[in-house]
Amino acid sequence: MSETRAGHTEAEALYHRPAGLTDVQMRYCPGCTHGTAHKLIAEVLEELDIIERTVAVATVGCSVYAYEYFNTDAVQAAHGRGPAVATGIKRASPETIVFTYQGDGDLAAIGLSEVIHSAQRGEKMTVMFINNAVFGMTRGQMAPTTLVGQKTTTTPLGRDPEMSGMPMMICEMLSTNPGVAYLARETMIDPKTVRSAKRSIRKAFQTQIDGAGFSLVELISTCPAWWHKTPLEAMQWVRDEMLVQYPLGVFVDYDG
Amino acid sequence: MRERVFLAGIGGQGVDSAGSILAHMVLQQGFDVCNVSQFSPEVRGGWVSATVIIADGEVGSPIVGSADSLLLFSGRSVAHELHRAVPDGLIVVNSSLTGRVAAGQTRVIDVPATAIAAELGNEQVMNMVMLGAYVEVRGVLDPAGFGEALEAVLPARHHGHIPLNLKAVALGAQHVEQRRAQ
Amino acid sequence: MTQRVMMTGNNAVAEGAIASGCRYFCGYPITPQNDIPKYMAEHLPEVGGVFVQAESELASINMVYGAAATGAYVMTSSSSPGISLMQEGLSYMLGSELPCVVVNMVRGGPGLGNIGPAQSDYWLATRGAGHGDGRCLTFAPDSVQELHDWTFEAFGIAQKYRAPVMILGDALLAGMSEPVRLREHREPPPRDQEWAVGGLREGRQRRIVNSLWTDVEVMEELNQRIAARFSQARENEVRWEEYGADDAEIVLAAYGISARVCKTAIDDLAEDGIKARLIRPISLFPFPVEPFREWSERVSRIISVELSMGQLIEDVRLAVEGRCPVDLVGHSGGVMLTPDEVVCRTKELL
Ligand SMILES: Cc1ncc(C[n+]2csc(CCOP(=O)(O)OP(=O)(O)O)c2C)c(N)n1
Ligand code: SF4
Repeated sequence: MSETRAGHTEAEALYHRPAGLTDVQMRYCPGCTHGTAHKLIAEVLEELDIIERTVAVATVGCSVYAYEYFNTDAVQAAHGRGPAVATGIKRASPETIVFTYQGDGDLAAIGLSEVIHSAQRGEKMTVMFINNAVFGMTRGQMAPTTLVGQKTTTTPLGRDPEMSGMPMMICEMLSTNPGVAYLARETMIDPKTVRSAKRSIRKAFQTQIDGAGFSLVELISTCPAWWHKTPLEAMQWVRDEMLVQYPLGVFVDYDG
Repeated sequence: MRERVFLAGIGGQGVDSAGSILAHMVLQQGFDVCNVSQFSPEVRGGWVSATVIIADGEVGSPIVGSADSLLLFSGRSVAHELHRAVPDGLIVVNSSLTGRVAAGQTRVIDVPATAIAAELGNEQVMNMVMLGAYVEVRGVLDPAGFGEALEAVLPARHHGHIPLNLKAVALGAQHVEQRRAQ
Repeated sequence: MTQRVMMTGNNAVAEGAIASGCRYFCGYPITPQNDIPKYMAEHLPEVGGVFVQAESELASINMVYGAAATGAYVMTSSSSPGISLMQEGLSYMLGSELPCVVVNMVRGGPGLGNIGPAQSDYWLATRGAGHGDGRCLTFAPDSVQELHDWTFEAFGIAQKYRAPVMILGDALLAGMSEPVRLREHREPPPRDQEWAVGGLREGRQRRIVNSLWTDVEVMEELNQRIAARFSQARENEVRWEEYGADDAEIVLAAYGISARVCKTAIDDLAEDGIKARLIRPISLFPFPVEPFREWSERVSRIISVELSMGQLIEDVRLAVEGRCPVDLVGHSGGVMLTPDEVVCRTKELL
């Protein structure tokens, strides 16, 4: 700790960077909750003491560099294929804790089949699903989760259900899947929701440690950049719009 | 020596297993062998063929346009496959289903195989009657190998039927001998 | 020496993989290779292995990618349309420098095609591995014994070059039965590669399996590394077989099942007083340039005999560099060649 004020050469660390993260500086936009999600996951890995036996599966989207951020072994997967890659890792190395980190384009568009079937098989893996209602990396196109009326570069007049259907409700869809052991939807817009999100993330990893089956946490996230909002406006938009479409809650809890 | 044997019939007649049993005997008796079975796409009742090549050197092409010996199990196979016979070739036909067959200079052996099998109480062993007749006429293989080949090819749960199959082989051979005597 | 047993090509492949130490198989059904997953599902559990039926070939190859990242011997098999779907995954494996074995029992195409024997995925294999600057090390057995042996060897080759190895068969080889002398089973090798993820780290440095390099110079270095491995493969892994007359007037070029047809055709031609020789590439990539270069100086022409509209012929022409004419005798779409036809066409072209 550096000396900041006379007489205060030693300080108690109230906060430290979780051991589950590397020192690499993240490349996310200001106000983007990808960073918060990373931090919560990293804290959980540290608290459960599983950093040294975890393989993170980074997918394709703004979080593609997740392999640089998580202080674990990591495998970078093709767009949408994270759960298949995680299946291979887990089956070939069952003592490993495996999680995928996927956006809504990655998971709900190109990779829908892989996530459903991994759940169906009850793969003992954990999926972190970042739902920010747009494709961030490719510059703001419609995602399957885009809200009705939401403007994106490919829905310039707002999403029209006649043209592009209704938003995809991943948790509701997976909640009837018998392979799922833990399933929750959370957000990260204030201390209360952040604490709740962390509880669910912890529970999801615990589910895997217990060998109970497939676990997934959907995190309703922000994309201030492509929502064309300030970070605070983005948080408010989550509260006012996203959470209306995507109600929070625990959908499946194998021992709840 | 290279003997190309072509077996043909319809699904359910045991063409495929006859090919496998023949191929096993060939291997046991010190030759090289290749067995290609081909099916039409229907799951039930389509055509089936097996090409078994017996060689004392390299087998070479597993696919042959013409065959030294034809084993034709059904009327359809006669209509479609007779052209494969080489001029001095051998044709064994299941005359129960095909009637009499004449084909140029080839040697045609009529075996009422379905009728013989029916007399044994099980038409399923028609294929073994045909094989018994073929092995007897051709004289390339030792019929003593049938028992071992049946054991290798038939799943264990069917091993109880091996004596019946061997009887069918013997009757096929016997039919050929009787014709020879006439 | 162990006794020989009758086996189909598909079963010989699967047994070769298990004998070699492969314990992980992911696949999606497609004719004519369905007996490979069937055999794996039945026999992998007996040796402590894992079989996963994937929901698609996209998933299969990505499961393979994950298992390969842990350093395990892993395999998938499919037939033409499924191999098309795997191209992206193969590219990722090559880019992430991961080994695996992929078996393609080629069927008639394009499109859904049919389940007849074909060799029309020669380019898909030897120019394949999806997008980017890669290719697949490709081996083409011509008998059930060779399918068994090459599948056994493929795992070691894949590890040596840290790249996917493709075994290229066809519908006929897949289904036909021939005697096989089986390899003895060996234990799966330890997963001690310095790049393998997973397991218990116990303080070792963390490892990353990745193909994303936004620094173009770093990306080029990766491509140079891959290219260097391919050059090394050209030194060490080129295999071919020759058959027929030492003083031949004409050469037939053929691999896999077509080479079998050519062997009989060459014997038949010899009976008619025509001296022909077969050059059979066993490794398709790396391609055996040498024998073609040599023979192109000695014969009037070379005929590429293949079950496609002319794919192998391009590699033959590259090797021959215009020294003699190269013609095509082929069928496609699942139609099979016979020795008689090869004999007739050879006589016409001579
Ligand atoms: C096969 C393939 N198709 C398209 C792309 C381009 N691509 C990269 S990221 C992306 C969408 C990512 O959106 P999302 O998963 O929502 O993540 P976010 O960027 O919003 O975090 C697309 C389409 C690709 N990499 N691969
Ligand atoms: S584009 Fe959107 S999702 Fe991507 S980093 Fe920026 S804010 Fe986050």
